[in-house]
Formats: sequence, structure tokens, C-alpha cells
Amino acid sequence: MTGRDRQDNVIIRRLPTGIPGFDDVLGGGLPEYSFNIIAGAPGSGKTTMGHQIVFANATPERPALYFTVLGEPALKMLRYQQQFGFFDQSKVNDCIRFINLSQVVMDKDLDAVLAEIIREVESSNPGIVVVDSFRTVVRKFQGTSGEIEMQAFVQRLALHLTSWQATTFLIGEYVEGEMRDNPVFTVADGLFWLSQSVERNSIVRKVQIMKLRGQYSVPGLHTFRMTAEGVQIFPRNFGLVERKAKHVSRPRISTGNAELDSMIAGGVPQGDSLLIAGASGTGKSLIATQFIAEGLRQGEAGLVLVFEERPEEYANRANSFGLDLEGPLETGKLGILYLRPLDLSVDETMQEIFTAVKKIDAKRVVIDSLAGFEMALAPGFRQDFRESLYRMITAMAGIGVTILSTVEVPEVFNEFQFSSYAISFLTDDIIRLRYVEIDGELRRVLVVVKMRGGNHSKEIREYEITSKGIVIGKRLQGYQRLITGIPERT
Amino acid sequence: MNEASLAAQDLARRLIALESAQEPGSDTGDSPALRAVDKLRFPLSKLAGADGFRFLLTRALTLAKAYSPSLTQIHVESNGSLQRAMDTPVSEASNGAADGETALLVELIGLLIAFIGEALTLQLLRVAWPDAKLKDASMDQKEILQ
Repeated sequence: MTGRDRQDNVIIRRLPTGIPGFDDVLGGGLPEYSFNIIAGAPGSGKTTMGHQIVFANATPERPALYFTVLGEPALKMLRYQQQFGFFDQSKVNDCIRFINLSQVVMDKDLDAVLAEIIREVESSNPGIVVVDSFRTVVRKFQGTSGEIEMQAFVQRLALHLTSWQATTFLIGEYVEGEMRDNPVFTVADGLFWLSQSVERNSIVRKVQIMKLRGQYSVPGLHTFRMTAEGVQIFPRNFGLVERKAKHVSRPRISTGNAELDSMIAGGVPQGDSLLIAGASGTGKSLIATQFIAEGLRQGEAGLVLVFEERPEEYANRANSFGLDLEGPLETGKLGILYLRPLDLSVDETMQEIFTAVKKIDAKRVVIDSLAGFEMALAPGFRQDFRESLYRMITAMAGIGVTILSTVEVPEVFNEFQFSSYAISFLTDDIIRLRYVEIDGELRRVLVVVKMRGGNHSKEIREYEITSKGIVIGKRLQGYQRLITGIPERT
Repeated sequence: MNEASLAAQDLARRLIALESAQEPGSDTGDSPALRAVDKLRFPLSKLAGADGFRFLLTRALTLAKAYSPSLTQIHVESNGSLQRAMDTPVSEASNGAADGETALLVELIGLLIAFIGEALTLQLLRVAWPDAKLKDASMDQKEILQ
């Protein structure tokens, strides 16, 4: 910008939406005095969203006007909306006024509708105005009014409401094809699109900011859910605007196994994502537990995400290896999140994880296992698992958390896979555990496949699972083709 | 009387007391109960539309007629106002009329409570009676008339 200081720009105040997660998606909140459309199919949550915004902003000085038209009867609407936690009954008919426009719409013309709205606005001086549903107004007059008249109506409505410093929301059941050449969408400053789809036994709801003048919003589809408190949105970026660059020199944190630490130049670089891959029974969960226990021993809070067993079972199993997790659980230093298949979206799961991480200020997070994580997701999200996993790992690393994930790899002899998810590129470090057949015995070996941050041992070392945990031995000598599982003596 | 709640009955009683305390000799000669019903027309029409109010009132009238035969002579006009049949004898018009009209008010308030709950119903009533202290069902009559 030339010849002008940014300080000369008008400051666009942002209004809170009252919808958890939505302010982040919008880039800080709703632009004041904006003229917005909340669109979507019936039942997608538009009215609830409108109500939440109204209840979050209405004050006696700048009340809210909620115009109902044809559609859901007003008494029914109040009956249902008051079930949500955001609904403050004392505000109804005080600083939130519900006005029915049905009769005017049915009996008169567009000018009369506009006159009625203007009359109410000028007598109330509202800060928020909602018209629900605006689509029915348009539909009613579509046959009788020309396109120009409709456009003029929308233009004058927007002009008047903005002039009276109201932030406006027109709610309507639109489909995407209706956006083209529609004067309402042209005039609107903001367009929020709600969608829902059914996939097998899950309903997946998403919101997209298709248009927002004046400020940057987070692009893409954001999952949302209808809860007892109303709409809750789970931003794709988890509310994190920037990814923090990893410092070149980061401390290395111990895995809890001195021998393993020595194989990875002293430990895992802080903020890295470490993947432990191996077949069932190779000790992946044990390494993960030792990792968390070591953090606790050093005074670091940790979080474990389990999908295949209950927290108490997890703690009991750790106990059998001499690792005390019950104590830290009780003190709150350790959190064990048990995420069952409850049709959770990745974004919702991430929100829960983030909340838990921040709550206890966790420095280490274990995901045991990625396969369980995938199973716990709603069917609609499994296809996006890889992309979602990347966002999750990136976001966690961005707040300085060191993540250890386990993944089960089918043991195939003569092959050496890393993971079935092709996610190796998403992790910074990979340790592979596998079985080998030697002299008629099934033995275990491990190898550090990758350490993005630096050097690591290239040795294939045998290890045992004992009552004291994983005991790593020396490099297996005298054999070649160990990684195939069927080595040959040299 | 059907399932009209105690709250509806109590609220109706208090509104009738409020209207009774007004200056006598209203133009229509309506009873306090009917005046109360008419007073609800504005806030309810504002909220639910003219049709919405009319349908609610019609429903309330139907419910009240079931046990107040005196109401059979009353019907709801298209604008939501109540009209008594012209050929109703005066004696018939007054017999039990007060009870019937009270029942109508009770049923109307009962419907509102059934649909939107007592708290929001009270908010609605406060629009029509802004000076009345309509707080909860246990309010003292004396306090209302202050």
C-alpha cells in the first residue's frame, strides 16, 4: 500500500459468534456491520447457529431482532432452541425480539416487507438482525416480482441495515447451484455454508466460509457437531494460525531405554514425531509406555491416547513391567484418553486431545495405536485419515509436543514394510521392530530406520521383552538378510 | 378442565385480577378474562403471526368449550378477535360466562406453557403487562396490585 499508513485504515471490529471454534475459523470473529448469509439444507443447523450469534451479542442497548417468516413456526422454534445451553430465557422479549413477518409476506409485496423490517429496525436500534428464512421471502415473490425488483429489494435491505449499523444474517435453504447469478449472494459480505451427509451410520456435518469480505478466514470444510450447548465447530487448523518452525538445535529427550537412546544419538529430538512399527507382540506398546513413564519420571506431564483398552487396563499392564502410571494418573500428571468408536471426526478428536494437552501441559503424547485411531473414526473420515493424521501431527509438533505413535505392520517374511498407511513420510523418526526366524526360534530385532534430525545407529539389534521392559542386546552378527525375517548365516 | 397446569390457572387468576383492578367500563363490556385474552393478541401475533395467534386461540377455545358450554356461542374471527353470536340471549350470555371465559384464558396460557415453557410464557406476558410483577406462581396477589 503506497502513500498511506496502515494506521489510517478503518478498524473493523469483530463480534464474537458465541459458537466454539467459529471465531477461529472466521479469523477472529464476525466483521461488524456485515451482511451475511447462513445457507444450507433443512436440518443442517442454520437456525441454531443464528440463535447462538444472537444470544452472544444482544444487549439492552443494542438488542437483536429475529424476524421469522414462513417455515418453522416461531413457537416451535423457541420450544426447540431453549433446549440448548446458550439459550437465556431472560433475554427473550427483553434484548432479543422475535417478530413474525408471515402475514406481510403472504398478503403484501416486497416494498411492504421492506417497510416492515425498516420500521422495526428504526424503532429498536438493533445490533443484530436475523431473517429466518429469507429463502421463503424470495420464493414467495419470485413469480410475481422481476429479477430487477428482487435485486433492488436485497440492495435496499442491505443498505438500510448496514446504515443502521446492524450486523445481519439471512438464513436460507439454498443449494450450491443457486449461488450463480443470485443477487443475494452478490450483495452479501459473508457466506457460511452448512452441509451434512450421511455415510453408513454417521452424520457428518461441515461448515465452509465460502465468502468473507474484509478479513482472512480459514479455508476448507470444518467439521461441526450439534451438542447440548449448541453448535460446536472444530477448525481444521485446530485454532493454530502459524506452524512454529522447529529450532535447529533442540534438546533430545530420553525414550526411557538407555540402549535405545544410544542408538538415536541420545534421544528423540523434542517436538519430533516418532513412529514405532512392528507386528503384534513385538513390544510397541511397551516402548510407548516406557517413553511416557520416562517423561513422568523427569517431571513432564504426558498424555496417552488408547483405543483398544481401557485406561485402567493400560495402567495395570504398565505396572506389570514396574512402570507406575497409576500415581501420576491420580495426581493429574498423566492423562489417558480412551477414545471409542463413537463416530468421532478427526477434528473433534483433535480438539479433545488439544484440550487435554493444554489442560495438563503435556510434553509427551503417545498414540497407541494408529490402527485403533482409524477404527475410532467415523466412516466418513477414514478416507481422509492420512491427511488428517498429517494435520494432527503437524499441529501437535507445532506446540512443542513430542509424539510417539505405534502402528501394527503385518509380519511378512521376505518383505520389510514400514506401515500400511504409507505414513512414513509424515513422521520424523521411525523405529522398526520385527520377528526373525533363527535356528527354529522366533526372535525379535529392532532397527532405527530414520531420524530426520540427525545420525542414528544403522545396526540391527536383537532385543527381548522381560519383566523389566525391553532389553536391547548387541548387534546380531553372523547373519545377513535379517530384515527379511528369514536370515542366512554369513 | 383438562391438563391445564396449576401454573396456567395461577397466571390466569393473576391476570384477571390485574384487569379487574383497571378502570371499569371498557368499550366492549368484556369481562376481565376476555380483556386479558385480547391483550395477549399483540405480543402473540408479533411472535407467532396473526395466523399463529388465531390458531392458538381457536385451539384454546375448543379445549375450554369441552367443559364450559357457555363458550359455544363464541368464535374466533379471522383477525383473531373473539365474537359472541348475535342471537345469543342475554341470560344465556351471562350464565356461567365468567367461568367459561376464565377457562379460555387458562387454556390459552396452558398452551403457551406446553409449547414454550413457563419462563418464556412469563416473558411474553410481561410484554402485555409491563408494569405487573409477574415472577413466579407463588407471588402474592397483594404484590401484583401494588
